[in-house]
Parts: sequence; structure tokens; C-alpha cells
Amino acid sequence: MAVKITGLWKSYGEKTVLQDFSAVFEAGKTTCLMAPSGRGKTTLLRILMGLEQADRGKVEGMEGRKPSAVFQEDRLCENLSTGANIRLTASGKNGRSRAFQKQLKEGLLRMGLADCMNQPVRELSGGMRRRTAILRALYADWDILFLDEPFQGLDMETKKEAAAFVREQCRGKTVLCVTHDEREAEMLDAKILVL
Amino acid sequence: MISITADKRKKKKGAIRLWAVVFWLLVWQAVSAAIGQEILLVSPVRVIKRLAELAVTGEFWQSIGFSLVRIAGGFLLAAVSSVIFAGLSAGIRSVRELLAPAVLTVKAIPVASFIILVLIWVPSRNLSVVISFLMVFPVMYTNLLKGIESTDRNLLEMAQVFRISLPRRIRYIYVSQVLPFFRAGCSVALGLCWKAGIAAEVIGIPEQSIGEMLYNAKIYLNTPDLFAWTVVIVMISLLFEKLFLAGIDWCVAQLERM
Repeated sequence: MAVKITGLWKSYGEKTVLQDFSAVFEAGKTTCLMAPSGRGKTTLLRILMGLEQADRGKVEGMEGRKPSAVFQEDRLCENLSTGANIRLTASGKNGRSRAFQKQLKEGLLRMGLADCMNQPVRELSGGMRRRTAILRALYADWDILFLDEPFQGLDMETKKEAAAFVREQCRGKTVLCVTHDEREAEMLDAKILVL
Repeated sequence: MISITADKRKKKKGAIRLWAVVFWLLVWQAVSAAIGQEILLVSPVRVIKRLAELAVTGEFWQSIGFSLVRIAGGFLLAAVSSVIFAGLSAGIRSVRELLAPAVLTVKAIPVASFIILVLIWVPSRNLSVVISFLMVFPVMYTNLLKGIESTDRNLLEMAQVFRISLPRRIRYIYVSQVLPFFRAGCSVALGLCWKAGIAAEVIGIPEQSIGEMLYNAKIYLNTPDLFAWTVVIVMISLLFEKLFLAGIDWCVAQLERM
């Protein structure tokens, strides 16, 4: 089901960040939302994720959906290992199943985190933490994925590898990505929408 | 690596050095020898001798057991209650508003007033349980509430988006964020509960308690006994604190292993 946004408004005090915004995000496709800073890209994602209320406007197609996200910040549990952080968002028993463990090992290998499974995330570098956050979002139980500048802090080579893995995992699913970099949209094979 | 080195240096700075302890014991011994009157200031050697004499009696261990069970009981009761009430206060505004004046009052009232008042209500045998509870609860409750409130909002939003269940949120997000506050609260409260608990026993004089022993030492001007029992209180208090905090650290380690 597509996500349809009609006439969305959002202000913080005097500052209006979303002004009569309308768009349709196609189901089963990746859409990259591009705009300069301060134009309400993150706010839009927060409204869609249910973390903020719009002042006015309508959002259709989000009812009963299971979101997943890579936030602008990593938002990892510092005291937990890489594996534990990823398992935390995997639904219930699934996180402990043999199939999931196998999938997790593969994912860690693809993201260059093979040796980090049991390492507390507080000991990881910024780039490794970012990739952990991406894996966590991909391996959660979801049907719509929100990516807020998912590859920030990664070097070009790692960015390409991570983007290829995301593209693979998200094939046929609805993904909404916020980025400043047009190349990232290309890497994700996404439709570009300028805010 | 840098932080580990810094931690070690910090630990070294704060640690009690043996030479410093020996220095102060020598000062104590010298002052006591200069005064020359045991009733005014007993020497450390005499205190150790008296302690050795007491340690072989059954009454000594019975008194320790009596006070330990009650004061530690009051502490544990307060620790558990503060977790429950801080959790409720964080979630339900009216509970927080209801408890605020009570906690403030308990904090402000002098412990001696409480001891005398509680002595009217409960038998002196259980006085130290109530006093220990009353001293510990406000400290732990306030610390825990502060801990819950300062839980990282970003992590809570993450949990909301990923639909992480409440038990898992409590275990993996709240507990790890609140534990440092709980640990700090315990560290302060453990010292408080022993001081207040023993003070309560000295006033209430329950039979076979450490408080009674201190009271007897006061009546008979038995300074060696007074010092020996004081050493015992300090030792139990420190040992209990170390054991309890080690228990918390063990829990944290288990949690991190997940």
C-alpha cells in the first residue's frame, strides 16, 4: 500500500518546517527525499513514524504498518553487544532462532562487522556503529523502512557496500530515505523526490 | 585505552593507602599514650585486644546477627519499595505528586525525632528496621526517579518505533540507564542506614543488639568496648556495602552479556 501525504503542515513555535506538503510514496519502491537542511525532512519521517503530530494535513497508508528505521543518530544501547543490539529489535523468539543467527552472521560479514558480534557497541568506531544501526533496522520485523541519512560517516567504499546490501534486503519493500547526496539515491536505485 | 588508564589513575588517587592508615594509627597510639587515661582515649592496641576477647563470645556474634538482619532488612525493604514507587511515580503523575511532600518531610525530619516517635509505635526490637527504611527510602527513591527521568529519549523513541515490548524496554533500556543512579543511591544509603539504625538501637536499647552494647559501654564508661563495637559497626557497614555493590556490578555484567 502506498503512503499518501496530503497538505501536511508542521511548525515549531514561529518556525514552519513543513508547509502544505503533499506526496505519494509508492509501495514496494525506494524513494529518496532530498532537500537542503532545515526543510523538514527529518520532521516528515518523525511524523510518519508516529513520533510527532502534524499540525494539519492527512497521512494515509500508515495504519497498522510495522515501521523500522535508521535514525539520524545511531541510537544503540551502549552496554549491549553488536549482536544484542540487532537481536533486541528482532521480534521475540525469532531473535534467538538458529535461522536468525545464521542470517545475522551473514549480515555482519557483509557489513564488515564479522568480528564484532559479541563486542559492546561502545567499543566500536563511528562507522561500525552506523553499520550496526543499519543492520538492526534491516533485521527488525518491518514492512516500511525509514532511513535518515543512513550512510553518514561512512567512507565511499564502505558506503557502496552498505548501500548494495540495503538495496538487496529492501527489494520489493517500501523504503523512504532522506539524504543530501544524490549518489546515495543512485546506489539505492531510488526514485528522487525534492522537498 | 585512554579512558582505562584515566580510570586507573582516578582509582589510585581515591584509594586508601596502607601507609596513611598506619600513620593515623600511630598518631592515635601516641596521643593515647600521652593522655595516659584509658577512659578518655583508649589505645588502638587495647581496642584490638578487646575486640579479640569479644570475638570469641557467642553474645558478640548474636548481637551482630541481630543488628545486621534488622538494618539490612530495612535497607532491602526500602530498596525494593523505592524501585516500585519510583517506577510508579515516573509513569503516573499523581503518584509522584502524592509522594513528593511525604518524601520531603521524611528527608527533613531529624532522625532522633523519628526514633522517639517510632519507638512509641513499634517494639524496640524492630525499631532499627523502620529507621533504616526511613533513612534509605527517600535517598533511593529520589535517585531512581532522577535516573528514570534522565533515560535517553532517543532510545525510548527507538524502542517505540521498533515496538519493543515493555519488559524488554525495562530490561535493556531502563535498567542499564538507571543502574548508575541506583548504585550511587545505594552507596550513600548504605552508610546512612547503619548510622541511623545503630543510633535507633542506642535509644531503643533492644536486647542483644549492637546498640545495647554501645549503650552499656556508655553507662559503665567502658571506652575499650565503645571503640571495639564502633570498629565492628564500621567493618560490617563497609563489608555490606562492598558485597551489595559487587552484587549490582555482577548484575550489570550479566546484563551486558545478554
